[in-house]
Amino acid sequence: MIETNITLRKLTADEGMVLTNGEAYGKEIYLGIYDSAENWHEITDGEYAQILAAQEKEEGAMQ
Amino acid sequence: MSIAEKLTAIAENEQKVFAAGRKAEYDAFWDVIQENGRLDHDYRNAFGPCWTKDNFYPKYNIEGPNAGNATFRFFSAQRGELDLGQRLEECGVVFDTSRSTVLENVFYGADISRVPAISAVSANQYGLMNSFAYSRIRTIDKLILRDDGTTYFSGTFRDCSFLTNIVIEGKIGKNGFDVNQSPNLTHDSLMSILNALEAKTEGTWAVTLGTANLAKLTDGEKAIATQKGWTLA
Repeated sequence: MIETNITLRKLTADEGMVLTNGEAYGKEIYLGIYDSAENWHEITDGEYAQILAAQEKEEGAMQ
Repeated sequence: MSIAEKLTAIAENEQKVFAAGRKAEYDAFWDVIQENGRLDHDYRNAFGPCWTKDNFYPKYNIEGPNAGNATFRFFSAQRGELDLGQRLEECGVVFDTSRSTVLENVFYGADISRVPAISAVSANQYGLMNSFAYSRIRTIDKLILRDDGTTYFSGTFRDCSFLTNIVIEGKIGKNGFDVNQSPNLTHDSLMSILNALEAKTEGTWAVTLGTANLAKLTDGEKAIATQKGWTLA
């Protein structure tokens, strides 16, 4: 029998902030085994809303 | 046959004649709409806002390389949502997108409650971009992805807030799979997503479930993703 402890590495955004690696966004992040906290940084909720709006506009233009 | 007998026969056959007329009208209409079921018929925006659950009764299979090209974009809910899977079964036809090279916007803004199995194995480089965005879909019976994990996602489930049930077949291997705006997903649906994540050996990969969905998973279940090299957002 092999017993293995698996550790989850969790990042939590501060109030009013969102974590991002430039592609994904979230209030809570559970890092994959090849990922690092250094790849993630915080932006404000307002900045996140602007990014979402820009993505919608870009995808709409591609239709 | 006397005149009285003829009149009696006409009266007895009235419903049959009426039904035959309706059938001829239906055939003529759908033969034109679906080009007699031609495999290369272009379904781009075919069933948009003017279509409702009261007039969508396809005669032929919806299939071929152009089957999924914004086919149900803005399908209307003026008379209530359509259970597309059930309707296709009633009509005895299938919506087969396994050869469809374009699947962008296939259900964008559609007022459809349930869709049958949707295959994206032949989708081009734009993959499932906006495919279910802004729809009222609650259930996707099955979403079939390529086994090599190359299916592209972008805005696929944007504002798809009604989505509750989804089964994934094949592999999620690219960034961009994001169900953050589908907070009502069942635990089984979330597990189907986690189990479909392709195991990575390097690099940074992320799948976005959102806070509400992450709360439904145990640490052990989250580890299914993280141990395969995926970050959960």
